[in-house]
Amino acid sequence: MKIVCRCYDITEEEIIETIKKYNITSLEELKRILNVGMGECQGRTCIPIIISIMSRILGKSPDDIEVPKPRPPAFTVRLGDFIGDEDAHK
Amino acid sequence: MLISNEKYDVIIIGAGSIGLMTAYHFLKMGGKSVIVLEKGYLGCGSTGRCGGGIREQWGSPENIILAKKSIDIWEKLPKELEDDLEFHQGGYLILAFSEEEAETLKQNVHLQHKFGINSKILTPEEAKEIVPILNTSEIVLATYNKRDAKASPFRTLFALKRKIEEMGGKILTHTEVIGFKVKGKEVKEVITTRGSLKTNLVVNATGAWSKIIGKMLGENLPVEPYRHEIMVTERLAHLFDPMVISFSKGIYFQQMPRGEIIGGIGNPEEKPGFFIQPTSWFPYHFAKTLIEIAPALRHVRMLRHWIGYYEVTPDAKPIIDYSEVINNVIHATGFSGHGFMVSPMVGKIVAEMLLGKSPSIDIEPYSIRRFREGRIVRETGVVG
Repeated sequence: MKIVCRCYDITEEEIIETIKKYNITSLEELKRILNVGMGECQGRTCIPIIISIMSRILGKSPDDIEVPKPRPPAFTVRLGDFIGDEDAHK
Repeated sequence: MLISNEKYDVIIIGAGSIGLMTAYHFLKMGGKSVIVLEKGYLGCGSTGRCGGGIREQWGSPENIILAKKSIDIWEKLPKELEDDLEFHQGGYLILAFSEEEAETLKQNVHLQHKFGINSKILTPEEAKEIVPILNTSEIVLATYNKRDAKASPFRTLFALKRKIEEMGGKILTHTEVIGFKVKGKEVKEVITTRGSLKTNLVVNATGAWSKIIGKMLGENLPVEPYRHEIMVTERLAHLFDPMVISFSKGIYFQQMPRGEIIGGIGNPEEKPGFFIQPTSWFPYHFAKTLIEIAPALRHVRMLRHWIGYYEVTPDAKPIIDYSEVINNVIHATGFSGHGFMVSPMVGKIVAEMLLGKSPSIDIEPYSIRRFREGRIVRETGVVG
């Protein structure tokens, strides 16, 4: 068992199984089913590995795999910090 | 890959929840030849960006009927599609923060009861029993309906895709419609970025983009895209079950099966248009309002923040109608931010229309004509 997504504990086996089950052709789609790339690391750990898996399974060049768009905030922010609430860290 | 010379009974434009539910019901009712065209990947439109809430607590008969009948279908859908849609009936809790708002919610509940919905009026204390993190100091009353629900928009789309393909339907992603070949008052061919397809019937299920498709057909649909922002937090232990919403504050939030809190707030200043950037207005106002309602959440970290579109009509109610200029086109659009929740029933109605059956509910209230004739009563129960 190889864990690819450390935020959601998604394994290589699950990724391959999901690609086959739903006939997935893009990483944007895989992301939406398995949550890969949407955890605390925002895909910094898992996305390059998933691109390599997808490229192998789909027989596509890694350049032809859509890279998911990053979302703000770049790093997690406490909700209280958006409004200067000092109690947020207590 | 180019396509050409293929012919289908039905071409559905848009593979969001409305388009795919239509294709699914069409095949289920015995329809044979259908293809769904999607300009991007599956889930790139509004369904893949929405909060996943499903409620029958509405303020107008049109939305109550669609939502109630949709929940009837939602309840059976995971079994029918043989997949986990993360469908869960944890209820909706709607909060009133003034006497005036309390009165509106009471009237809504009264109306809902006429349609057989078991919504209840709760005291702030009763509401806190259901959602213990609530700050009740400003709450006048709440309404609650246990049958209201949530589901995963992504899982729903992909489960539908799998079933549609199993039943012989086709879904073509990354294929954008760029025009139509019209003869007389009928579409003969749909022209895409990958070639043309012949067809007998066309469904416009393109949501925020439906006005653009309408324009290609020479029709001016009263549907405008509005950017709405939404966010998700880190995962937490289970805190509460229902979707919590407030119409006056424009906020909604719920906890997902994995523990994240997902929620959004509407910006009353937002103008129509395709604005793809998230704003700095959103995190500030969302955090401020959420912390007023549920102070403990000040400690929770926001993970991601993104945008999606509400396709809004002048009365915030849907359009489910035949085109007024082209005979073989049906529009199913204008859901004004609430398409996902009503998609099962809308899909069923449109499939009935495609198969020449009479729709199982009266579709007159969803006509395009109502705007021209000035029969507009605005839905008050829109949030986000």
